[in-house]
Amino acid sequence: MPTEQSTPEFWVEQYGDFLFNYAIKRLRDESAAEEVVQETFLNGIKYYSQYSGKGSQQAWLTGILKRKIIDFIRKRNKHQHDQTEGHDPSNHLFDQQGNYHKGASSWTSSPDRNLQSNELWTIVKGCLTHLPQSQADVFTLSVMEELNSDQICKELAITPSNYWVRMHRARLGLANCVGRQWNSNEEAATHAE
Amino acid sequence: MLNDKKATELFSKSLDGELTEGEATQLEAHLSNSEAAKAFAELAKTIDKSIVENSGISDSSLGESALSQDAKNRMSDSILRAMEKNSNLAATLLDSNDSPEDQQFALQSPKENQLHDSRETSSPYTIVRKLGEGGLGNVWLARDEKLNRNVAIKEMNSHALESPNAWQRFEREAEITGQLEHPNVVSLYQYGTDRKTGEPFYSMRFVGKRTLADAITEYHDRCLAGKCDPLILHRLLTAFLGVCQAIAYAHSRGVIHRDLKPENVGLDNFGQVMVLDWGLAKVVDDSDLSSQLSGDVELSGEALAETLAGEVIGTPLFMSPEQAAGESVSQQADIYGLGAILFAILTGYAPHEPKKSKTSAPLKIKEVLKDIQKSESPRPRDLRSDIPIELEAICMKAMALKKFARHDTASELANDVERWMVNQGQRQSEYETMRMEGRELRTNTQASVRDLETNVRFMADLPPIQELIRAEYEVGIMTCVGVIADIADPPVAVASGKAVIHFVDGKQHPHPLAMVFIELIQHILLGAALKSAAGGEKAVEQIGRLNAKDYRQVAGADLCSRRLWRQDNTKPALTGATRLSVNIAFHVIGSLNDPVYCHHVITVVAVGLSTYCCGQLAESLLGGGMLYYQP
Repeated sequence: MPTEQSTPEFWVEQYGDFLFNYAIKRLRDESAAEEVVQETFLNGIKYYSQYSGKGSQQAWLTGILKRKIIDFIRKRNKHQHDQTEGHDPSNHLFDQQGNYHKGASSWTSSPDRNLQSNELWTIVKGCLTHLPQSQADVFTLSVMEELNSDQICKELAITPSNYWVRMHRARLGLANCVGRQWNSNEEAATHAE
Repeated sequence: MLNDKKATELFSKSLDGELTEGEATQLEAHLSNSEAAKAFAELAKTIDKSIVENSGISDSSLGESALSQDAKNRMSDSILRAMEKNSNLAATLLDSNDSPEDQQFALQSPKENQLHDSRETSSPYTIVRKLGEGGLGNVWLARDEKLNRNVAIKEMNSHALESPNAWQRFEREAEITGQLEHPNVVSLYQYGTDRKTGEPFYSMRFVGKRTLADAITEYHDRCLAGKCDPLILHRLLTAFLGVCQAIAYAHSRGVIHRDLKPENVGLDNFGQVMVLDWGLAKVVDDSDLSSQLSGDVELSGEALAETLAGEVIGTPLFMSPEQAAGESVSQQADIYGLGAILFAILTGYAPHEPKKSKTSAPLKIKEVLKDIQKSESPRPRDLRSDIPIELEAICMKAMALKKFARHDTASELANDVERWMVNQGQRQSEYETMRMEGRELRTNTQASVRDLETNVRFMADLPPIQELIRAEYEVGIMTCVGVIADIADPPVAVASGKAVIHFVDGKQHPHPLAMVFIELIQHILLGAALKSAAGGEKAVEQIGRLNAKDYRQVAGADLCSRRLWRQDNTKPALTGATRLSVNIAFHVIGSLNDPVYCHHVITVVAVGLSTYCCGQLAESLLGGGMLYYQP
């Protein structure tokens, strides 16, 4: 390995932004993302001898970061009050028979409208930050980190039913939020025309 | 039978691939029946897809968020600290394939930082980040944990640690800085050595990272962008005065800075100026530094002993000719350095920089030094023609090639600059006054021209007054005017004026503008009556003002007052006041938007004027000969 690549400054400069970007998408919190990236670097240095050199340093560090993110979410969930009960979008969306209230679903506009993917991503990203942490974390681990339900239940020490409730509410909440913003964007676009 | 809620749950599960066959069938059946559930399913799928697509890091998304430089510095520092806590870590950084050279280098990195880390444990300082790096050492921002304040810590770098001279210079710098107590000299808090390595460091007041060089660059960048602000130049010159005072003080203590340049002047956000980096400072006699520094006697240049004879010390682009020649330096070298800073403030360049920058060839130190020794610096106005000549002269004097031609002391240089600043302020004030007067004159002239044009146009549109009078004769206008003309008593004239108006109007007229006009007639008549008495002209002028005020209040126009104040003092007061009244009358009747009524009114005014003032006056006032009244 070249000497320069073994210095902390080089790592921070070379991989800092990449890892920070990766982390902030999953944690939605700058200071948390910064913390896990820092821990990643510290672990990287500590266990540098384990780096085989076959893959890129970045991929190797990303592997460490993934672990750090899960650890962080576990800690965060442990110290946080479980908000699963507190935020149930179903209360607002469904009637007593479990069917949608009239006009409750705001995603009635055609989803295949010509929405730019980055525009949608911006909306989704914003909506993720509005979800309760416990729901967003489970959802993130499932969709972004592609962990299956068993793994997530194990990592976060939650029951499968709790997992499904969180996932379902996260999806409902997201769809509701994205749908609303989508509609308002569409209205704005119509007015602009 | 599924409801929407259950269907969304199942769909959510289906996205995770956790649906049984039976559940899938049920879900499909429900989605085909419920539009809302179907819409949710499609949107949820789209959202999942978007997240999956954007969860990785592509080149385009890399710019979304980035670590701040502060965060990066914090990370680097914490990693370094962690490395030092585990002495084996440095070795683990190395790949087994690394060359011995690589190993040596990598092992040196943590060793270099052991200095501040072990200091951190033995002293109350916590290193925050590196502030800068110089030839002699590095400066760190640190936190004094005991006093809960930020400090700057300077330590020698690894290169300097190998040189005994550098050790000596470092200690002397601390000693000089510590003993120079002046508001514009950075305060030294503590000098010490690292317990573990024995390497020296000292802590001093943290001024901030901004230097005079940054401020100069900012100022000239603004100028290039067409937003040159004289206030910023004034601030830069004020900072320069602070530097001069600090150097004057140092000279009085027998200390020569020898490395004056904008980078060595720290600025904070509240106008404080600190001369930094006394690492190259020379003292009269090194062996007796403290006694020299504590003395109050100002030493002459000749008395200053040479400590580093023959050695070229300083920053070439700001260096005095004698420094460049490696000759003995006196406080005149600092005067040159101050002049060079002034040059940089005025032009944005170092004195010997512009000539070099024109050539693409890289600068050679030897050539620069030779150039400094032999040739005068370029004149500031060669680079920026808008630089005041007086400032250029001060700058050129301070930077004279011959020492004797420069200012004798830094205070003298400061006085010259300050005097220029004061004079500049006075000149600016005089200029502003003249400009305001000029602006007022121009406004008045323009208003006069506009008024004249309006009046002329108005009068030109009127039928000949003679015709008008004849036409209205039968309805009694002239009779009324005649009544007015016979009235010498003002109260009666007022009553008659009202009568005229009412007669002309043919009915009761409650319109406020009409009442203003009545007032106008009153004043004209009253003025005319007073004119015959002693001091009448003055009274008329006052009436004119009163009239203007009334008009403004009722009609909401300020035109009348502008006209009032624009009276030509060379003409009789009556002329001005009456002209004003007539102008007001025109506007009043213009506002009534009734041509016939306007004709009546103007006729009455003209008759009244001619009767009580004179026919010539009426002629001159009402449009410069456009209106003739011949009784």
